[in-house]
Amino acid sequence: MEKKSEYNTEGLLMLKDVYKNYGDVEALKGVNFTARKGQCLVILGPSGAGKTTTLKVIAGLESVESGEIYFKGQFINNLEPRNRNMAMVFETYALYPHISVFENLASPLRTLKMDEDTIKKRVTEIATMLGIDKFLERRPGFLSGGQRQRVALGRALIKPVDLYLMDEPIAHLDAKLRYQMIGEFKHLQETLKISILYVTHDWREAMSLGNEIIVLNKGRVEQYGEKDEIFKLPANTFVARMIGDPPMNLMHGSISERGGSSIFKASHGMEIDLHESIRPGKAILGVRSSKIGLALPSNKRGIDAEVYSCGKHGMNTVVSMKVGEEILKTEFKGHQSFNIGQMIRIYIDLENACIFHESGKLIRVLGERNG
Amino acid sequence: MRAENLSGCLEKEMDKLVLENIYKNYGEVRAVKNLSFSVNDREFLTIVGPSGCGKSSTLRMIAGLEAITEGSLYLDGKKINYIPARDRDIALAFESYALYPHLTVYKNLAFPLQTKKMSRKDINERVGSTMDLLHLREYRNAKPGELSGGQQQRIALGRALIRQASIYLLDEPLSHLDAQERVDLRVQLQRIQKLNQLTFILVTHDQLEALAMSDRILVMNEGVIQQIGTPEELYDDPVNLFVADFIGEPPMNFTHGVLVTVEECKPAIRCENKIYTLPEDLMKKENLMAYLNRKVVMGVRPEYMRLCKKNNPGAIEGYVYSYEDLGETGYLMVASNSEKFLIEVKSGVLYKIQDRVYFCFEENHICIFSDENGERVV
Repeated sequence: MEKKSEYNTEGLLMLKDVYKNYGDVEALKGVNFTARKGQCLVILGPSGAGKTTTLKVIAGLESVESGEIYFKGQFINNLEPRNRNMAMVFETYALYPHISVFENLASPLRTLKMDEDTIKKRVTEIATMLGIDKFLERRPGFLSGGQRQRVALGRALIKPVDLYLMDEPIAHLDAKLRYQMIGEFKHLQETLKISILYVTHDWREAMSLGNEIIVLNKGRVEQYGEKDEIFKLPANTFVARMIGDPPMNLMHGSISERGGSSIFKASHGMEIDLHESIRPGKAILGVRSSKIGLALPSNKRGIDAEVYSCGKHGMNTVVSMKVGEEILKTEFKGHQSFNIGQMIRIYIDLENACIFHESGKLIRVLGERNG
Repeated sequence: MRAENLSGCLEKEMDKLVLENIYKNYGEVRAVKNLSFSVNDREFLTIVGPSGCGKSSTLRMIAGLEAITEGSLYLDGKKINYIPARDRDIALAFESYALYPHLTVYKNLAFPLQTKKMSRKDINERVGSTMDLLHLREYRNAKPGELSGGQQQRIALGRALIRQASIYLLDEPLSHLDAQERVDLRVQLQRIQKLNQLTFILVTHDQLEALAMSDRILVMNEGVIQQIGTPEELYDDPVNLFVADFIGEPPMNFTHGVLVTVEECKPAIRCENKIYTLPEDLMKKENLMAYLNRKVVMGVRPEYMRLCKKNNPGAIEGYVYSYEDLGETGYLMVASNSEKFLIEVKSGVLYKIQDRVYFCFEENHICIFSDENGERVV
């Protein structure tokens, strides 16, 4: 509740019931959210969710069907894109090879007809922050890959605007550069306190960069909240599976009452005591992969599972296993080896496990007081 | 039971396929240089490397689609250099699908079986189970042109797997699938290979894919084999800088410095104004002494680094550059000198940019490479 009033004072951008159609296709079906000044808000969703459309509507590159957009307290539905004082950043790695780092950084400012002294000051400022101030006279070809990335990032963010709109800016980089880039990106955003609306399909990028996250699916907001909330209190099974690798394991079954405590009975017969009282009925139990471990032989509540596949993920071992008809997936620490078909005994740690209604909506997070 | 059989077979190490000093030239370009390795029977071997490393050329030579410039190729103990592709007992799935456009999915899959004169009932059964494995049943009557790239790729894969062959060659078989399908099919491919005890050679540029499925992995770069070994070996014991950097995500941290000794012969790496001390028993390795006062590169994976107290022996000072919290684990980027290290940490702690921190390395997991040629020193 407290949050609402905060939004009113700090709200930079607000979307109210925004609809957008392309012919018969409804791309956005009533999108609502507020982006705050100085924060990075991430829109996360699979392809076709309406992420890019949302950015275009905000930038003014597309008109809305209905709904209202406010920017710095002003109604901007009909404002020309160039008067919105936003910058749309597509990819952050395109540099001019034939001019110096300084000129690469300065060129977005030159188009603004800024005077030379101001340009110099701003370029030096941003280059120092990114640790590339020593290379300003060099051409991009004479820099290492990491240094080039930082120049590209500086170039994307040098134009002073009130809001940067970024559409998968680092999706095309190879995986290793992406890790470096996320670190640099976050450093710059937090140091400059700039406002960013960042679109991605990658949950890692979303969790790394976002102060808050909007999970978008088929033109609708599935959940909007702080990233901690999105991770710990997913509004539904869609959000729960969107974040994490391997994704959250979902087991279908029903909840019944036994001696003051609720029992979750999976469709294949496995029973788990939830140690909490939850209304009986059909339900889905969601458990993150980190909460599944190998049971010691002495553990009487161990669950029998058949190894379905086994592989490596870095220093960890990824194991899919069959429990009844459900396939659960988890990562065990360290290098371990299992054969397909091998029987193992596992335990499920219920801390922070999610109980969903059969429709997919969250009922309760175990161990949370007010869930 | 099946599992026991399997490991028994691997121990016997019967060579299914042997490459001996193989070269491939395209005019002036030497695509594959002096390549030798063998594939065990019932093994899942993955060849991985960046684009242009020669991995696809290698696979195409094994398939018989490219002539071998020099060297010998043996399958089941027989030299097959000059045996035409169609007479090699090999099943192929290549990135370019080569499906029959006028035939339905069902008929595309049934085709390799019909040429083998199998009964209609058996064909029906095999096609059915292959469609189930690759989630193709709902498209059985569709023609390839009506399907997405990912779906077409699954048909191509199915057409290779449906055959009975001595060895299966798969070139980037999952490249056109979306992320979820890819993860799912990695599991299915491994199951098909293990449960039917087949020999697979798979080519990919994606090291995550290689680690996730393979018994052994061969890393190639610029036409030359870099290392062949189990996923664990490549991850923990890379033989050179290329392998260390190529395998693993997030990538290994590297620091450039000079190998020196401090306080009575303790080995250390001097890097700008910092000294990284190394475990003393490393000094016993003769190899290391040869590199004294020479330039080296130290590599440590983010999982093998941790934050520690200031008075911890070997503690290195740095400051927080950025922090990403992924819910359960997090990655802390720490700046020390002009280098940055990525350190895996437990989630739930708030780190602020510019905070001073101390960190150290897990001593057994430090890799040291020569700066000149990238070879592993210890």
